Amino acid sequence: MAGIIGYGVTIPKKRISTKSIAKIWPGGGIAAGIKEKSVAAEDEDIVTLAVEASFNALKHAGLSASDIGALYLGTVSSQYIDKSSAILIAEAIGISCDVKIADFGGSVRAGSAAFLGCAGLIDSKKIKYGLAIGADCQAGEMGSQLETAYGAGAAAFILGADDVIAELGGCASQSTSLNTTWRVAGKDYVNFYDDARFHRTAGYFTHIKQAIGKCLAETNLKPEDISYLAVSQPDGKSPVDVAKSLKFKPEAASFTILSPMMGDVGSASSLIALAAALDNARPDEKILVASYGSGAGSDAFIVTAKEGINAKRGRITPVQNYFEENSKQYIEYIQYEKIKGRLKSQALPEPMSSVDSSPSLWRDKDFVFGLMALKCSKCGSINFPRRNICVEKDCRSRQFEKVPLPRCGVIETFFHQYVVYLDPEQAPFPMCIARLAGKQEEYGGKVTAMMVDSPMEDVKVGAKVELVLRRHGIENDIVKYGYKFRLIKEDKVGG
Amino acid sequence: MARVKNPLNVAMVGAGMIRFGELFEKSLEDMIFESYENCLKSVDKGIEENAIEAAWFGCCLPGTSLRKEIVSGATLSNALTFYDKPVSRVENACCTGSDALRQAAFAIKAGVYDVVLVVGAEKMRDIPGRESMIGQANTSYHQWWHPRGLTGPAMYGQFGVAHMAKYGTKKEHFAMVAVKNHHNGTLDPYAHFQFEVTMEQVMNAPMISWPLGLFDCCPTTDGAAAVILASEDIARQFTDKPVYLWSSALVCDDFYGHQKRHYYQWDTTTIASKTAYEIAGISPKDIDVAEIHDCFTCTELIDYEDLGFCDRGKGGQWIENGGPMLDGEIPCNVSGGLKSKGHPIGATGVAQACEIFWQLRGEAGKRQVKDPKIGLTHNLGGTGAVALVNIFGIEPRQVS
Repeated sequence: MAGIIGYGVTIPKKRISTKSIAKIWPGGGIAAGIKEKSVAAEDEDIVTLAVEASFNALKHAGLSASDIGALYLGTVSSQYIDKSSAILIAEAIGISCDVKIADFGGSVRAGSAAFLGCAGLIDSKKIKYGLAIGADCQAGEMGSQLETAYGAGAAAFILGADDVIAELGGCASQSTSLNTTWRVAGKDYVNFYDDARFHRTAGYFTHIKQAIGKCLAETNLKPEDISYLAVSQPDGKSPVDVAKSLKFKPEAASFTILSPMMGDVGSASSLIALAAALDNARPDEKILVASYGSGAGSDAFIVTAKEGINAKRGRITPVQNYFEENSKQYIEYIQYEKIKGRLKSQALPEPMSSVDSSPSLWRDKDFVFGLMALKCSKCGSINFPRRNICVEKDCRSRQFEKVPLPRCGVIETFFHQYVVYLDPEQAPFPMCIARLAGKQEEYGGKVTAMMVDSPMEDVKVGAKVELVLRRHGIENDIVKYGYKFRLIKEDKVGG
Repeated sequence: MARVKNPLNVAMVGAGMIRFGELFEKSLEDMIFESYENCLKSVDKGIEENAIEAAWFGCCLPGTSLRKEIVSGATLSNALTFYDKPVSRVENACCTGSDALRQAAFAIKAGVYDVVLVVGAEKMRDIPGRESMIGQANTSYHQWWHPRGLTGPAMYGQFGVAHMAKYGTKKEHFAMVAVKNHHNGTLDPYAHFQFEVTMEQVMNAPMISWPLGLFDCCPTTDGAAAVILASEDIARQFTDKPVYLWSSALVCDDFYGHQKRHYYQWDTTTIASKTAYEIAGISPKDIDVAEIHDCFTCTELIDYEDLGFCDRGKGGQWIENGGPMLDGEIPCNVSGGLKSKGHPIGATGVAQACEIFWQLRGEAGKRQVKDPKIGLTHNLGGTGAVALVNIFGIEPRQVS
C-alpha cells in the first residue's frame, strides 16, 4: 500500500492584502474570506516553487534525488502549453533522466491527479519512490474576483511503500462537464461564469461532497472519524461550509484552512492543506483530502498518519511558519501589476541592428536614401558607398565631388537567391551587380541590389536595369527604404 | 616557459589618432582613415604609402556593434584602399589594440617585414550604450544563470570591494584616480572628456555599481589610433627620434569571474609586467611614464600594485602621496587614461602607444612629463582574464 515518505511545501514571501487590491478595485476585488494572498515574484514561477518544495520534501524524507523513480507534476500555470515543466524541475533537482516524468493539467485537480497517479506507480510496484508535486500561480483579469483570489504555492510529496509516515487509503472521484472557470489557449487570464453562488453550488459543493461521501463509504469511515479535513480552497468560506454541512468535527479544519492567508493556490491547494495536517497529525489520526478543479471534478482520499511521523518532525519548516510575519513581505497593487507584467517598462527597447542604427543612417542618409555618390576628382571613378580614399587601387586620391549616382546600368553578373532572412521579400528572387551607365572603372562604378519586377528568365548578363526606391521591410516599427534594380528596355533620362 | 629573452627593439616611427568621443558623424571607416592620415603626417621624414608592407587591425566588438562589416582584416583594406597586401585582425578583449601592436612587432622582429601599419578602432556609439557594453558584459558568466546585472562596472567593482575589505582602501582613494585622470584629460586635445571633476562630484555622483559611481567609470567612446612600426635597421630613414618597443608580454587566464583565486589583485597583470620588465632588463621603478588600464578607478588603483609601482595594499596610500600624478614618482595616465580620454576597445592600446610615443619624444604639450626615457602601456581585459604590458624606450635596448 502506497504511503507518504516525506513532504515539503513553499509559499512565496511576497504577499498582497485584499485591502490593497480593493483600493484600486473597490467593487471588483472581493473573494470571500481571503484577507491576503501570496504572490510569485518576478523571478518565481511554478518551476522555481516546485523545485524548492521538492528539495524540502527530499530533506524531510531523508532521500536524495537519485532515489526518485518518477516525477509527476500537476499545474495549470506552466509557462508552456507545449513543453514539459516537469522535466525542467527534474533536471534542476538532479533526478535521473530515465525516470517516469509527466505533466498533469487541464484543471487544478491536476495536483491530486499527479499525486494519485504517482501512488498508482507505487501500488503497482513499478517504482520504489515517486515525487508528486502540485504547484500553481494562476492569474485573473485585473479587477476580477479571481485576481483577488489567486495565490501562489507548491507542495511536494515523496511517495513509497516502506517506512511510510502516513498511509494512503480509499479514493473516490466525481466529475461533470461544467463552465465555471476556464482559460482558453492564447489567453493569459482565467475567465469565469459571473455567478459565485452557481459556481459554489453546482461546482464546488456538489463534486467535493459526492467524492467525500463515496470515499467515506468505501473506507467505512464517518465524518467524526476524520481528524483533519484537507480540501481545495478556492476562497476562504467554501471549505468552512463543506466542513459544517458534512458534519465534520469543528477542529478538523482548524489547521488546514489556509486560503484566507494565501489565496487559492490551485493544484497545490489541497496538498498544502494535507501538509499542514501532517505537521500536526499524531499516529493513527486520519486526514481526508479532497481536491476540486474547474470543469469540474473532485478526487477524495484518506491519509492515515503512522508511527514514523514523529521521528521526522522538525526536519523542515512547518506550513504555519510561512504565515509568520518574518516570512512575509507585503507589496502594493502597483508592484503586483508590475510583477504580473501588466505594468510594463519601455525603458529597454528591442535591440536594433547597427546596419540601420540611427547614427549610421543619419550619417549616410544622402548616400543610402538620396543616392548620392562620390566621384573621384583625380580618376573620375564613382565611389559608392562613400569612402575616404578612392576605391581604385593605385589612385590614392582623397579628393571627391559629390554627385548623383547614375540610376541605370547593365548587369555585370547576377544570381537567384533562394534562402534569405529578410521580410517581406519572397524567395526566390534575382539579384544583380550592375555596371552603372557610362562607367568603365575597375573597382568603382558598380552597385549590388535585389531585383524587382524582373522575371528570372529575363535576367541576363548585359541586360539593362534601373534603380527604383522600394521598402525593404520594417525593423522596430521603422520602415527601411532602399533601392532595387528593375529590368528596362531602353536607357532613361538621368541614367 | 618559452619566452623572447632579448628585447624586441622594433621602432615606432609614426603615431596618429583622432580625438576620441561620441562621434555620431563618423563611421568606423572614417575613424580608421583619419587616424591613418594623422599617423602618416606624423612621420618626420615622410613616408610613401606603398612602403607599408602589411597591416594589423585591432577591433573587438564587430558582432554587436558592427554587423555590417566582415570580421576580417579586409575592413581595414576597404577603409584605406589597402589592396593586395596582408592585413591581420586581432581581437583580444581590452588588450586588442596592444596585441595588434605586439603581433605587428613580432612580424618585424621575425624579419618578415620592415614597415608595417597598426590601426586600432572601435565604433561603440552606433548603437545605444546599453546595448554595446552592458549587453556584452554578461558573456563572462555561464549562460543560464548569469546574473542579469553583471556589467563591466559590477565585474571590476567587486575587485574594488575586495581590495577595500583586505587593505582598508576607501572609496575616496578610487575617487582620487578620477580627479587625477579628468585633470590630465583637460591637457590632452585627444581626450573625450576635457573637464575637471572634484572629489565631491565624484563621491556624490549617481551610483552605477557600488562602490563605483558615474565618475568612477570610463565613458562609451568612439575612436581610432594608428602607429607605423619599422625595423631597427631602417627606422632612421623615417625619423631621427624613433621610439623602440623593448618588450611585450601577454598573459591569459580563465575568464569566468567566479574562477579567480582572489579579488584584490590581478595575477595576469603581475605576471605580464614581470615578464616585460625581465626582457627589458628593468625594474618597475625605472618607468618614467605609464599609460595603464583604468576602465574603472578601482582598476587603476589595483594596477599600481600589480605593476609593482607600489607595494601590495598600498595603492590608496601611493595616490594619496602623489605617486601617479603628472609630477609624481611614476606619472600614470597623463593622457587622461581610459577614464577621461575614453575607451574605444580596439583603439585603446594603440592610443596608449601613441601617448608614449609623444611623451618619450617630448611632444606631449601641456601634459609632458619631464624627460621620460622609458614608458609602459598596460591593458587588462575580461576582468583580468587577459593582461598585456608593452615597454618602450628612446634607445634600442641591449641586455647583457
